[in-house]
Amino acid sequence: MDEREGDSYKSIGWSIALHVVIAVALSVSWYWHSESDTIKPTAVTMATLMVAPKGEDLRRKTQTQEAKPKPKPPKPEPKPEPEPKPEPVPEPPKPEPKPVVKPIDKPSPVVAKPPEPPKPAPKPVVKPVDKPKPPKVVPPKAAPQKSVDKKKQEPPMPDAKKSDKKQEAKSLVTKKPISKEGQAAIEAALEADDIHEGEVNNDEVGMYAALIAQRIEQYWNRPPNARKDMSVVLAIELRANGKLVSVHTVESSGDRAFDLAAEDAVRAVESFEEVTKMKPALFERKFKKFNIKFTPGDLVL
Amino acid sequence: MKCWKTRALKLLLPAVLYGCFSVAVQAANLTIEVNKGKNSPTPIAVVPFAWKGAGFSGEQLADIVSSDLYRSGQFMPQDAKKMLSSPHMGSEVVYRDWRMSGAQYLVVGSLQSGANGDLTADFTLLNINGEKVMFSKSVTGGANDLRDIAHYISDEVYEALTGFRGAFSTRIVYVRAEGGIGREMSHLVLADQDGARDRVLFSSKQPILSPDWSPDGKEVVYVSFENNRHPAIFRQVLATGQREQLTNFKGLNSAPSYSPDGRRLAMCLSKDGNQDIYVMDLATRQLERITKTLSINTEPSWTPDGRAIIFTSDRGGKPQLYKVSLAGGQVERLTFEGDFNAHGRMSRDGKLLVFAHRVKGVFHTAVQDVKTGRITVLTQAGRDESPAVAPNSRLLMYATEDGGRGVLASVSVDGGVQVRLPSSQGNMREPAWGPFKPR
Repeated sequence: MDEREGDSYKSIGWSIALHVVIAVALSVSWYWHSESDTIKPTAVTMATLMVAPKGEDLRRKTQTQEAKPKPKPPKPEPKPEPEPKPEPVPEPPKPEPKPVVKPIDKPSPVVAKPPEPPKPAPKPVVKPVDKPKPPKVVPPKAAPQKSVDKKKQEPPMPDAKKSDKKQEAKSLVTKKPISKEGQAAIEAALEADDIHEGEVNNDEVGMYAALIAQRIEQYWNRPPNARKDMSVVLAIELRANGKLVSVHTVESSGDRAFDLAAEDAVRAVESFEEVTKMKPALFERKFKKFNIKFTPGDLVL
Repeated sequence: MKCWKTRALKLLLPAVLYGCFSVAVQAANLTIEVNKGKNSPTPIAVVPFAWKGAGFSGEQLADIVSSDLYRSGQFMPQDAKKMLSSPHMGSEVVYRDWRMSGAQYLVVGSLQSGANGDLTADFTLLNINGEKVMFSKSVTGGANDLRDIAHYISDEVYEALTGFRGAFSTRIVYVRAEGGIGREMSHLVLADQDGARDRVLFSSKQPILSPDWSPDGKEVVYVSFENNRHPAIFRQVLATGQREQLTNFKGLNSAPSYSPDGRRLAMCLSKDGNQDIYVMDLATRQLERITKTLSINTEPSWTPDGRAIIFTSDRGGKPQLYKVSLAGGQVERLTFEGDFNAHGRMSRDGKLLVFAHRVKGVFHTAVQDVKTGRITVLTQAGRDESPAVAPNSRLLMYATEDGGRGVLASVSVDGGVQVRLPSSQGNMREPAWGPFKPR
C-alpha cells in the first residue's frame, strides 16, 4: 500500500517535471521560430507577372494638410485678435508619391504565368531584379546569401547523402536551447516523417513568398476608405497544384470593404503557380497553409 | 525497475506527440506581407432585371442601382450593354464568364407585378471570385415605387459589401432660385438623394435660406424673407404642407438647426445687438443664449450627442469653426488651417467635421478627422459651399457652380468620385440631407 502510494507520487512528480521541461522547450522553440517567420517580400520585380497599371488614380488626388498637432486652448477674448496662425498657409504641394510601377517597366502585360523555373532548383526568370538572389544551384558554392531571415543562415544544401541531410536537419533544429526530451520529440517527428527531406531554405521561402505577394498585389484593389495603417490577416490553404482550398479572415481590419477586398485578391488568383515549382517538402512545410497580411503601406494616408 | 521503464515511456509519449504537433504548427506559421495594390472602386455588375410589365424596363431598375453604387465612390458598375449574359437568378450565373469580365460582385434579379399592381423584386448578390451567393432578398413596393425598390436594393448591396448602412433611400431638401432680375423666385425643393423625383415644398418671391431636417424626417425648418423682406424661421410639415413661423425677432433670424433629439432648435439671432447663437426649446419656446462675444457667431449645428454646438465665429479675426459645450459653456476652437472655415457639420458617427474651407480665396469642401485633426480637401472646384453629410457619414453633398449655374454635387468622404445631381433650371443651393427612413 505504502510503496504503491510512494510510487504513484514519484510518477506524478516525474510527469509534472517532464511536462514542464517540454512546455519550456516548446515555447522556446516556438518563439524562436515565430519571430523569424514573417517574410517581407523582397523587392523582386518580375516582368512577366505584372499587368500594366491603368494610370494614376484620381481619387487619391486629395490634398492633405496636417493640422497643427496641438490646438491652442481657446481663450474667450472680448475683442477680435489677430489670427493666431501665420496667415497664408502655404499649400503643401504634395507631389503624389506614387512609386507605382510605370507601364514601361512592365514590358509584357501578359497572362499571370510565371516562367518555368529550371528544374533542380527553383530559380524564377526574374528580369529586372533589384536585389539579385544568388541562384540556388544544386552544388552550391558558399556564396554569401542574402537572407530574409536574421537568424543563422544555413549553408545551401548540397545534394548530399540522406544521413547528412538528416544530420543537418537535426542541427538546424537543435540550434536553439532545447531540452533532451524536446529534441528527442522533434527527432522522432523527423524520423517519423520524411519532412526533412526537403530542407527549408530561408532564401527559397523568401523568394516564393515575394512571388506570391507579387501575384496577389495585382489583384488587390483597395476600397477608397483604405488607409495605410489598416491591416487584415487572412489564412489561406492551397493544393499542391496551386489551387486555392480556402481563405478566411483571421484578423479583421474592422472594415468590411477592406477585408473583402483582401479576400477577393486571393480568390481572384486563378492559380498560385509558384507552389507547383517548389519542392514538395517545402510546399508541405511552408506553403500548404500560411497567412497573408495585407497592409496598404503604399498609400499616402 | 521494469515498471519504471514503462512509466517513463508512457510519460515520453505525450512529449513525442507534442513534438509532432509543434512542428506542424511551425509549418503553418509563415506570414506573407502584401503592401501594394491598386486603388480603384470595386467593379460590380448589376444585370438588368427580368421584367415583363409595361411602363418601364428592367434595365431602368438596374440603372438606378448602378448609379447609386457609382455615386458612393466605392463601386464601379459595369456597362449593361457590355455584359455577355443576363442571368436573373443565382443559379443561372456562370461564374467563370463573369470572372473574365473583371467584376468582383454581381447583382441579378427579377421584378414581378402582383394582382393589385404591387411590384416585387427578388434580387441576389453574388461574389464572383468566391463563386458564392452572398444573399438573396426580396422587396415589395407600390406600382409607382420603382425608385424606392431600386434604392432599397442599393442599400442592401452597399451594406453587405461595406458594413455601412446605405443612404440611398434618403432624401434631401435644397433651395432653388430662378428667374431674372425683378422676377426672382425661390423654391424649397424636396428630392431623392440622387436628385430624382424633386417637388417644390414652398415658393416665395423673397429669398429662402438654410433648410434643415427634423431628426424624424417629418419636418423641415428654414429661413424665409416673405414677411416684408424680414428674415424669420419657419417650420413645415412635409406630409401636410402645414407651416408655422417660429421666430420674428428684431434683426437677423437665421441658420436654424434641429437638435438630435428634435426637441430644440439652435439658431443665430441678432436681437441683442450682436450675432449670437441661441437655443430654443420647441415645446416652451424658451430661448437660451449660448454665445456672448462682440464677434460674429453663426451657423450653429449640433454634435451627434446633442451636448455641444459647432459654430462659425470670427472671434480670432477670421471665420473659423468652434465648439461650445452646452453644459459648461466652454469654447474650443476646431479649425486652424486656411483663412476661412465655415458651415461646419459633424457626421453622425462623430468622426468627421465637414465644412467649407477657403485657402487663398478658393473654396473647397473639406473634412477634418475629429480625432487626429487632419484635414482632407475633397473638392477642388473653387466655389464649393454648404456641405451636408449623409446620415451614414459616408457621402457629402455640396453646392458648387457649373457653367455659371448653381448645382449640387456629391462626393464620398474618402474623396472618391464627384457626381453632379441633375438640374433642370435655376440655381441649386444649400442642400440638407435627411435622416434614414425607419427600418
